[in-house]
Amino acid sequence: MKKLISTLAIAAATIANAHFLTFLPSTDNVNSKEQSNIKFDAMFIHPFEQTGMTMEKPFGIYVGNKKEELPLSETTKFEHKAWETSYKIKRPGVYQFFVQPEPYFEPDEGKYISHVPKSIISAYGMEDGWDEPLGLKYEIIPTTKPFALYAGNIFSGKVLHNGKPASNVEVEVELYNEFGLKAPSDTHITQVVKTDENGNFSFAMNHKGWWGFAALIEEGEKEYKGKMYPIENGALIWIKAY
Amino acid sequence: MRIALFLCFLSLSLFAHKLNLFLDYEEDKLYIYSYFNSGSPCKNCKLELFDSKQILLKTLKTNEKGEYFLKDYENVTYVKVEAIGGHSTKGKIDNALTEAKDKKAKLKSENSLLSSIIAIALIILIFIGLKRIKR
Repeated sequence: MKKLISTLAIAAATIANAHFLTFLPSTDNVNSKEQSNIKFDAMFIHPFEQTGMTMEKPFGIYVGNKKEELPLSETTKFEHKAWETSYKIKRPGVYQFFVQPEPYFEPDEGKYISHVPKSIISAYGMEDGWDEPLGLKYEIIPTTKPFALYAGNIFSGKVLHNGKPASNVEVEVELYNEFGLKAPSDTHITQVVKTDENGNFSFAMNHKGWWGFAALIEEGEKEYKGKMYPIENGALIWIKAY
Repeated sequence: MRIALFLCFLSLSLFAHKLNLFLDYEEDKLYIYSYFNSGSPCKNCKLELFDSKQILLKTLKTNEKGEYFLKDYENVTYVKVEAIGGHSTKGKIDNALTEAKDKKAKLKSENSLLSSIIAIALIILIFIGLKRIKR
């Protein structure tokens, strides 16, 4: 009985915390040819707790607005299926990458989850273009230069839905906790800010590392075993604080 | 105090217009690209080429795109670009480029050796041919 209760408690805690499609490049700043072959990990995880979930093969990982599709290789992250790819940067510029996943059915929440994360990389000192939208249906546009942040800096962004600012949207925030930090309570694991009437949000990052921002917009339905379920669409961005 | 503040501001503004230099090896040429972090190219900027002892070899100019494609770069080790406003940047040809440079030099010497052998062989053949015609 005790075992059953503790198992249920762990399961409840897992359900309570947010999952993020985590999309991490080997660097967000390329300064030499040695760094120019960028490796990417795409995994469906709880970033703060460092626990994994299975990620089915995505539709693709792309450079720019589907300008180029990158090759996918299956890998294992946090004991679950994940994906990796790489891209060779040959010229100075600001490069944007994103993942288009297969919507994933979450039975515990009774909905589909479709997170589209992006990552922005500066190569050889070029900084122009980090605030340009890719044109995704759900997208976060940084309003702070995303590849030059220190721990303690405020990161701000604008959430766009069909290219228009999305007001009153919840943006979940989590640290990719590779540092073994302990949260004072479960509610501290996933922090939440909301967008204002112009779709803007801000968040102060209190620790170095990769931070994930997920603006969640519930829209549309998809069938699962003969029943229709809502889709939670996530506009995600991963940025690094130094 | 005012001077110190002014100097701080000056150094910040200098960095805000940081000039960058990108060197690469492309189609048997040294690709030189100079640009500001805003993305603007360093148009018609002074381009100086130096050897390994920092001796100036040549002074050139970048094009409208901030680029220069240099054919003869065997002796070049350092590249310096200077903008009209006084910003400048200097770069050293890295290992990958040095390897490419050495490869090109080796290929050149191999080609010249091969050309010499072919030329000698041709002379011998002509000489043999003439001898046979004489008979």
